[in-house]
Amino acid sequence: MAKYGLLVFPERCTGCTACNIACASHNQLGLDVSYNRLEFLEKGTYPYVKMEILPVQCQHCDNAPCVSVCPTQATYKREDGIVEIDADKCIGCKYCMAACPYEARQLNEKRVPEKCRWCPEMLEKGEQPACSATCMNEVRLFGDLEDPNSQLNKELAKHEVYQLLEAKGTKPSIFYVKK
Amino acid sequence: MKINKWTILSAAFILFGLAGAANIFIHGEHAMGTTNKIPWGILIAGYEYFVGISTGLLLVAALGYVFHGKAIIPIGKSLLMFAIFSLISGFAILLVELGNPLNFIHYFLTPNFTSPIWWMAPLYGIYLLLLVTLTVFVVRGNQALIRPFAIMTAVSAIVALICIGFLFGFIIARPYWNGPISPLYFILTSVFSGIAMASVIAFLQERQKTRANFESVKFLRMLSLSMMGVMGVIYIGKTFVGLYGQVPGKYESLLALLTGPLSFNYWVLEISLAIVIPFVLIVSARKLTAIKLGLAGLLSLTGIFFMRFNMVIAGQITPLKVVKNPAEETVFNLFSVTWSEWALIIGGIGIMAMLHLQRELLERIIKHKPAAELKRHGDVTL
Repeated sequence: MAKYGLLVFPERCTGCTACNIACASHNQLGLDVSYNRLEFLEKGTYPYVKMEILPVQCQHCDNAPCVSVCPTQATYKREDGIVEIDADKCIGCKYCMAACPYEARQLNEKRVPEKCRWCPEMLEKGEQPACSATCMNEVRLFGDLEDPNSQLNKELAKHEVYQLLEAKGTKPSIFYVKK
Repeated sequence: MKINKWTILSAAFILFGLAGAANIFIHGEHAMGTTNKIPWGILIAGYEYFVGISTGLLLVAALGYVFHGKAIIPIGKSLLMFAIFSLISGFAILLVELGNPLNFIHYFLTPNFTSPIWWMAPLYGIYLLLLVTLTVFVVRGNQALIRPFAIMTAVSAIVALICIGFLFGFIIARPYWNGPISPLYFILTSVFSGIAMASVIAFLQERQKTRANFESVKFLRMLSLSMMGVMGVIYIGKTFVGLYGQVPGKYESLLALLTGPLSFNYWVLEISLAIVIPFVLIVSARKLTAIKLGLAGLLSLTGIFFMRFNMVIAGQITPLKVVKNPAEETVFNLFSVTWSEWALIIGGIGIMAMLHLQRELLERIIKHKPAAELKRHGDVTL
């Protein structure tokens, strides 16, 4: 069984938001709902400043707070590492929204806190999730963390990487390449 | 059923609450002030408020029924009754707050025992069951069973409060809530709200000329002042620890309360109404009458509502700052409260008031007096 992970190359991101649009289009999201976002960081002091753009979405944590707090197991961790939501089981308590340190949850019209699903229907066909597939600069590299020969693992070995809010102990499945 | 101006007012409150609930059911989250950044709003605060009053009242009543506090026994039955009414109000508000209550069946089909919210239902269910049973024994005068059931109900109330404490304390994403003291905070603040409500009940009991008990007022005065002292220590502790350590997230939330967008709520509606003004009122009274104690209790109850609201909002008002951006200033998340949400809170008060007004009838049902006998005595209108 594969265990999915994602490697993000922030320095390649131009902030074009194509990933955001592809995600919204694929998942048929409303105008005020977004499963991934871009965080803009200013670094340095004038005149030596630069901007870094960081794509942020559900981190599909191994120790996911949203999975622990969901009273009905509507949010659950699949064997392949994807944190999935079964909307039919959701009672709408929004505990997952309060518990997620990454602000990944977005309430939809049916009052279900949805989020990035890593498009499992595309993975089953051997394709990349919509956000990765559409990115012109290959900012997102999606792959199998369990497979030592996967491109993802090769790139992980090559670069110094970090994860978001590591101190929270959530063990995210998304890695960011350090600049 | 007795109908007077208070019944009509209570019914109006309930109808207003129903209108708010209908608006939320029809328009969903759009009818609420919650957002993706502040998913828990005034309704969660309202739920906490009412269940806090309920468990607090029970713990005050336990001083009488478990520890033989003679000053509490005269108002004990009223405390238990109000504990039930308050719990019903809290549950009603929570039911509307839940986005998909019809999926509740999965609470039993696929339970998640690591979730404090899952434990809330069985723990509060047990508490309600024991509370109702205890009340029945008290109303019927089953002296032998009152104390053991009072002990069990008090334990279940404390366990349920600890669970609410875990509910917030477990959330690592929100530093203002996260921590081991959260359960203790909920127990103490609930006891405070119970004492405040008991003060109002002592006044109501005297007003209805059911033989005012000076000892009850004196005892509640002592309890109120002691609890205000405890609350003062909690506030000083939270403030100094937050400011001194400047823990990211916790510090900003504290600033939001002290000098930020929640400062009016905090200083005027919470600290002043809940503690300072009632404290001055009680201490300055040369002879503390039930009406002054009741007024102090009512002010405290109002302030405690904002205490709940401020705690819920303060935990979420600080942006999560997923990515550390040194250049970024803290811009607090926006929050609002809609008329539908206020309507539900007012509706909750209406439910409590209406049930209290029909208390006599409820007591007679508990006592199992046949309707014919009631009519013969002419002391209740059916």
